[in-house]
Amino acid sequence: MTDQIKKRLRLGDGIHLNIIENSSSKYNSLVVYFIDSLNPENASLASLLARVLTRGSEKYPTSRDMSRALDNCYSAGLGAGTSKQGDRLVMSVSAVSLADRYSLDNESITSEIIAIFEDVLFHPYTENGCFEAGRVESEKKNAVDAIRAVLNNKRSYASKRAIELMFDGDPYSSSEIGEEKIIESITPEALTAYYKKLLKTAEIEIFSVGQADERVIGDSVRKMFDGMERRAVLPSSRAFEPKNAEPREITERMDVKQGNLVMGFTHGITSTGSELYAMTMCNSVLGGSITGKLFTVLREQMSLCYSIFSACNYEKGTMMVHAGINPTDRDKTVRETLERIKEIKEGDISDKEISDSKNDIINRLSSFADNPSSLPAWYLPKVIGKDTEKEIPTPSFVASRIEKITREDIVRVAERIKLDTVYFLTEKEN
Amino acid sequence: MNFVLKENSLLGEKYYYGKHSTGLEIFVIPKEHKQSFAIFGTRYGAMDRTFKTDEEAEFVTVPDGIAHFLEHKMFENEDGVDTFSRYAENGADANAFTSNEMTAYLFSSTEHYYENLEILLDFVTHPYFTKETVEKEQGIIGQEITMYDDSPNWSLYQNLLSALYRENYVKIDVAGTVESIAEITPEILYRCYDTFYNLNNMTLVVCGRFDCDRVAALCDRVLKPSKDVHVESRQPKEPRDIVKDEVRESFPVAGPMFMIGLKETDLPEGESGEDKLKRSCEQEIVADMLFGRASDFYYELYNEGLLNEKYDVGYELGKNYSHLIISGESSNPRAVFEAAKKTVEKVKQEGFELADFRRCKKARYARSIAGWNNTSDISERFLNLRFVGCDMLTEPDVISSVTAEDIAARLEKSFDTKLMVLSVVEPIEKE
Repeated sequence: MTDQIKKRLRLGDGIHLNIIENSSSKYNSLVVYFIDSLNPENASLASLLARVLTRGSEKYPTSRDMSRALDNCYSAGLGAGTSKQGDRLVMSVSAVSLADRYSLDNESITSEIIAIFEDVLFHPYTENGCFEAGRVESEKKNAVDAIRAVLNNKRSYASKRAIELMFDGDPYSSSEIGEEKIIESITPEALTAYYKKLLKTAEIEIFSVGQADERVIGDSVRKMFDGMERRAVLPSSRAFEPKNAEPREITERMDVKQGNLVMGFTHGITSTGSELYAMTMCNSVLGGSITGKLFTVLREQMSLCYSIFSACNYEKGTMMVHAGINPTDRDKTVRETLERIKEIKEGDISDKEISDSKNDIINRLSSFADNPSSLPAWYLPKVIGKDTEKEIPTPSFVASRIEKITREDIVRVAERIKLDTVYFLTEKEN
Repeated sequence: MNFVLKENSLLGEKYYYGKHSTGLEIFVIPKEHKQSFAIFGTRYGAMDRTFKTDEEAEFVTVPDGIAHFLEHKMFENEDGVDTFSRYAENGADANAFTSNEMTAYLFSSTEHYYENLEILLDFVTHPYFTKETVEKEQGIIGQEITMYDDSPNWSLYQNLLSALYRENYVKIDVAGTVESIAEITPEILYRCYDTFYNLNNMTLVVCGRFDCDRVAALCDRVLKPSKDVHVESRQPKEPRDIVKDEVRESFPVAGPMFMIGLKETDLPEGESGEDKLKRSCEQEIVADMLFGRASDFYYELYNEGLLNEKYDVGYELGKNYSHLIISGESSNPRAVFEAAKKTVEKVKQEGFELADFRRCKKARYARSIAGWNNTSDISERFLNLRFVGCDMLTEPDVISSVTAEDIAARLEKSFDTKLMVLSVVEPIEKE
C-alpha cells in the first residue's frame, strides 16, 4: 500500500523518522516537524525562525543563492512555516524534489536536495554565532505584515477572530503566526537561543515520502541528527473546556459587502476517544461534504449562501460552521443551522445521507495514495507518542471504521454538540 | 470507433485519441493510480457573448455570466434528483468550473468510474431549466459574486485586465454582475446551451483505469449525435496599446497589494498549436529569468523591503490573448513597477547570462514533468491546453528545444514596457 508508513524509526530521544514509499509519485518529499507548546511567545519565535532559516545558509548565504540552487535542482521546493495542533505549536521545514529518474544528466536530485536541506536546518547563516541582525530585522517586518494581512481574506479573518474569542483563556486562542508586539521585540540572540532550544528539546517528527531508497534516506537523515544533545519534551494538549453557560454572540463591522458567519460548537470528542469516527460521520452528514444538510438545504434549497461547511477539531473537541451570507440573513442562517443539528439529534437522517457521507469520506481517504505529499500532515497527529508503525492508523483502517458507523452512533455523538460562540463579520451600520 | 496512440517515451506517458460518431473528441490517458478522473468540457466561456451558428442570419449578444450560470444549472435534472446526489452513491468527488473560454464538468473516484462517467455524459447532455430554478440560482450566484466583490485579489486581477485590454473580452467577469444575471431566462439558457453544448464543440478527457473500448461503448449508449454546425463567436479586435498604465482601488486590507501585467500583442495569425506552446514556454522562461525568485530583481527589492515572500510570476495563455502577471505585496507598488520596467529595458539592451537561461529552462522543464503527477492535474491541464490547440504530451520536448537565440528573440518581440500596467489595491484612507 502506498499510503502507509512502511517504517517508523527512532533516531534519538524524541526524534522519529517515518518512511512512506510511493512508487508512482514523480516527487520525493522530506518534512521535519518541530513540536513545542503553543503560546504567543513560542509562536512568534517559531514563525520568525521559519523565515530566517529559509533566507540563507552557510553554503547558500543569500536567498538568491538558495533559489538558484533549488532551480538547478530541477525546480525543487523548500519551505518552512508554523501551524497548530491543539495546544501544540508545530514548525515545519520541508523539501520537495523530482524523482532521480527524470534528471537529464544522471544527476542524483535526491542527494542534492538532502544536502541543501541539511545546510538550511543545521548550518544557518550566522554572524558571530548569532542569526545576522539585518536579516532578522527584515524578516520581523515580513512576519508582522503577514499577521496584518490575515485581514485581506475575510473568511480567514473571521475564522481567526472566532477562534480568538471562543478559546479566550485557552492556549488554542494563540495564533500560530505569533503576535506583532512580541515579534517586534525579538532580538537575534533570543531567536538563536530559541533555535538551539528547539533542536535540543522539541519533539521531532520527520517524514520521507516517495521513491527514495529506504536505506539511503534512513542513513542520510540519521547522519543529520547524529550526536545531537537532546532532552525532548512532548507538550501536552487538552480538550477545550467551555466556560459560557449561554452562547456568546459577537458582531464586528467593516467595509464589506458579504457577511462571514462562524458558529463555534463544543462536543468534547477527541482523536484519542472511541467516538472519533462517529463524530467524523456526524460532521460529514451536517456539513462536511456537498451531500451534507448545510449544503443541500441552506444553499441549494434556501439559496442562503454560496459557501457553507462544517469542520471538526479533534484535538480541542470542537466544531466550527462557516458561511458566507447576505448581511441580513444572519439570524436565519443561525436558526437553520441549529435546525439541521436538531434533525440529526432526532435521528432525521436518511439511509442515503449516511451512505453518501461514507462514500465521500472513504473516497477522500483513498486519494492519499495518489497525492502522497499530503500524507505527512495527515499522519502527524496520529504518530505523536507512538513507538512503531503498527500502532498508527492508516487511511484504509480509518475507512474500515467509518464503514461500520450506524445512525445510532451519529445520533449518540450529535447529542454532545453544544453552541458556544456566534461570530459575525458584517457590513458597516449605515 | 478508432483510437490512435500517441507516446512520449522519455516522459514515460501516453494517450489514445479518437473522434466519436456523435462528433465528440475523446482522449484516454491510461494511469494505474487509485483515483480515476474524467473531465467533459465545452469551448464556451465568458468571452462568448456575441455569437451565431452558420444556420442563423444574425449575431446575438447575451447578458454576461451565462456560461457560468449554465454550469450551475446543469446539475439540476428534470426528475428532481440532484446530480451530486447521483454521484455520491458511487463515491465520486465531483465539481465544475467556468473560465473565459471554457466550461468543464469533472469527477474523480476510486471505484465505479464507468458508472460515474455515464452520469457525467448523461447530465451534461440533458439540460433542464425552469423559471423557478433560474430564480433560485440567481440568489446563490448573487452570494458568489458578493464573495468575489469582497476579495481584494479578485479586484486586483479584474482591474488589471480592464487596464491592459481595451476591447478583448478576457476582461469580462466570468460570473457577470448581479444586474446581468437578473436578465437571464430559461429561453436564453437553452439558446446558449443548444449553440455551444454541441458535441462537435466538446472534448472528453478520461485519465486513470479507463479502457478505450469500454469508454467508446459507453458513449455509443449514452450520447446522441450532434449536428455538425459551425459556431462563430465574434471577438473584437484588440488594439496594440493599453487603456492606462495604472489603476487603484481601496479595500479594507492591511497593506498595498499589486499586480503588474504585460500584454503580448501582434499574436501570429493562424499560429499552430506547437508554435503557441513554444511561444508560451519561451515567455515563461524569460519571465522567470527577469522576475523569478532567483532573479536580481526579486533579490534587490526584497532586500530593500519592497517585496516579501508573497510573490508570484505567472503567465496566462488564451486563444486570442496572452499576458504575464507579477503579483505581490509592497509598501510602494509604483517603485516595484518602475523597477520592473527598468529590468526589461536593461536586459533588452545588455543581454542575459547564459547560466540564468539554462537554470530557468531546467526549472521549466522540471515543472512540465511535475504536471503528470496525478490524474486530476493531468486531465485539467491536458484539456486547457487542448482548448488552445496545444498538446501537453509534447511540452517537455518543446521546452528542451528552446535555445538562447529563441529567448533573445522572444525578449525583443514580446516584452514592450509600453504595454505594462500596474494594478493596486490599497487600504482605505482613514477619515
